[in-house]
Amino acid sequence: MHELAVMENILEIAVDFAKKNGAKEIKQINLSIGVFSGIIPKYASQFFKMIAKDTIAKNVKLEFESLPARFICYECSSETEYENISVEPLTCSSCGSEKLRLISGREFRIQSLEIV
Amino acid sequence: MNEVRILEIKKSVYEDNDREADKLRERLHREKVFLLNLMSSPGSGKTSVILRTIEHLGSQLKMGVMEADIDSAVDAETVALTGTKAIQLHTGGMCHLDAGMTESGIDALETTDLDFVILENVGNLVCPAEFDTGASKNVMILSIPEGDDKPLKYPLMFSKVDAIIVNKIDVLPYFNFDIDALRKRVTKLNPDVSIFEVSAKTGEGFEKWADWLKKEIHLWKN
Repeated sequence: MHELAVMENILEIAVDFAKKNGAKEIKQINLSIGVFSGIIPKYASQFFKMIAKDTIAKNVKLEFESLPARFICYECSSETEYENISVEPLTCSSCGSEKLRLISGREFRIQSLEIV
Repeated sequence: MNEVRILEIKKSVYEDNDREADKLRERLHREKVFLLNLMSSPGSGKTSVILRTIEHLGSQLKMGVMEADIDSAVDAETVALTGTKAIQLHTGGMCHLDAGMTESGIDALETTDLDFVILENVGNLVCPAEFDTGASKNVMILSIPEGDDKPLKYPLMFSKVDAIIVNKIDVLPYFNFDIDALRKRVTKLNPDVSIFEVSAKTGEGFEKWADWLKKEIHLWKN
């Protein structure tokens, strides 16, 4: 739903960074996105195309790398990753405990740009 | 053909908004104004919870309310009837408020003589979770008819809030809502969160919520 506002941020950051580095065109933007982020890549790409049409990013390809949710176990301190948290119960993959604490899965970062 | 170069950025997409939000938070801290960002689905009872909160704290603290809505002034008018300073923020079709819009609201409300401002965010559990408004504390309302499975569907929101108000507990007998299951799901995402069970209709549970809020406001101002 808020893809448009988010894509505007990405476009601004990417174009600014690319121009400072003497780019003529941005070919690809590599993004990493936590599973908890509400962004849907398909819609995000469509919005991006719309807002980038008069910029050096008009032919860009957005590449999304999905980051899993990571939990740490209170009992044995080991980490467990889940691609989807709606499977219940969520348990520690080492000891089976349900006492877990979320440590990541909420991030949304621009990792890199591919420019010419 | 020019060669493709790779530039490493490694920057959060939300970095600019996060920076603005931190600046607003620092300003509010200096001015000793506590800002509560209240989020929920449409129809969970945000405005009714605000009215009950005014009932409990309105005589002790100078309050203001900012009602964010895509386009209407109904909520601000309802709140203003209680004598509380209230303004309506129109987001112009946007599904959330960012720190810049919140700061414009703070300026329009003229908050320097206030102790405490409630920001009623746009009704949805997805977008407002991504954008830091600059609030002192973030709180969400989940109402009984929405179901106890919502932390599974909107984990970002449940993982980011400082407190959850479970509203409409007066209708609990009519729904298959398991409060223990909710607590268990939420604790995994957010172990330090406070949970308050209330009914804005009957007033049940509001003392505990008001006490928590009063304590947080006191800590913010001192």
